[in-house]
Amino acid sequence: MPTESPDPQPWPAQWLRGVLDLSVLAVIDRGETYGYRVATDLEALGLGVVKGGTLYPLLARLEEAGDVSTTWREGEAGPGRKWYATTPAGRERLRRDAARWRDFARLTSQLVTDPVDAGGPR
Amino acid sequence: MTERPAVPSPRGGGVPTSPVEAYCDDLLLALRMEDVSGARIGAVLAEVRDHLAESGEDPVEAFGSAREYAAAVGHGTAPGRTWSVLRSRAAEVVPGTALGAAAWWSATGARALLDGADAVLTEAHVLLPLLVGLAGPLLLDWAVERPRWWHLAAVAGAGAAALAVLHVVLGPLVRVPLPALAVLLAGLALVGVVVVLAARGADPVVDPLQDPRSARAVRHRDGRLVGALVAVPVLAGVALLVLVGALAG
Repeated sequence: MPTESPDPQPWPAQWLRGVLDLSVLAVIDRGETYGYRVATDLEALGLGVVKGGTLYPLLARLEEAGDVSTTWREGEAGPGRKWYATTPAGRERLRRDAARWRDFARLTSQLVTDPVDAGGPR
Repeated sequence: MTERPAVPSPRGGGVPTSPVEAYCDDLLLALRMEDVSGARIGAVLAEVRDHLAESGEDPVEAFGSAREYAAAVGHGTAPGRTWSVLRSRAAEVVPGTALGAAAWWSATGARALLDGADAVLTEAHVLLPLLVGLAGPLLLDWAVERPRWWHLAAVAGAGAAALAVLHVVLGPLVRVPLPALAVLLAGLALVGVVVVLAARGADPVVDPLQDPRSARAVRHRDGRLVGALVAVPVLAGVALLVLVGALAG
């Protein structure tokens, strides 16, 4: 029986846009990594396919903001490879924004899932 | 550390180019048009190559068109969009204007020196190079389909043409006789300043793993090349103007 490949874009782009930088920072915080591996980790976690055209400018912004540090090393396939690791400032931002995200997600979940008396004028 | 080529993806003449290298060539050009520095371009190209080598994805599928991706990179790294555009525009207009003026002043001075007379500078010696220098970017924008500020360039081009016609029909409005040698030396000095600035501003694409000494050598080599590319046509232009003036006189 043929297996169904997972949906490459399981979530609306609009949702992902708000949380992608935090998700990328969280993936990098798991251990030093590089661009393509960040993309495959995000996909494996169920966030869908993040294209290189979206991912690398985002990584550059994280680097510019001082949230990640980078190192160039020889790659396995020939070209150089840029490795990313979170900085103390990046970890602090992750901790702070993760707490805020939890509150935000809880509020919006309540708003959109809790039943209310609908239909009458307010 | 391994020495790497200055431009990571030279397209060999007649050698078939892979889709990745063809994309990188297009991206390099698009990033140049976005005024991204050579060092940053080298880093972006290395990241694109590494990503595509491991993923096996189609370049356009993964990164979008070269122009779109260059715009995303350029917008992310520009310190301030308006300031950046103004600065890049000035960098295009000022050297061209200065070189045009310098060549004309040098030719006027040299011609007068040969005649044993004073060199006469007119308003056209200043205004015409400025208007042509402003109009030059129009050609560039048209060539690369980047229609930024083309209105100003179009007005400047029309102004240059109008000034040239008026100058021929009515003659100069202002005439300033100056020692021929002084005008020649001023023109040549201005050529020298622009050549040195152009050479020092050379910004080659450098691979992020290239060792600093070889990157410096590449920068110096490119500087000399840029300097020669600026100086030789201008000095040839001066010689041509002097020759035409001598033949006409």
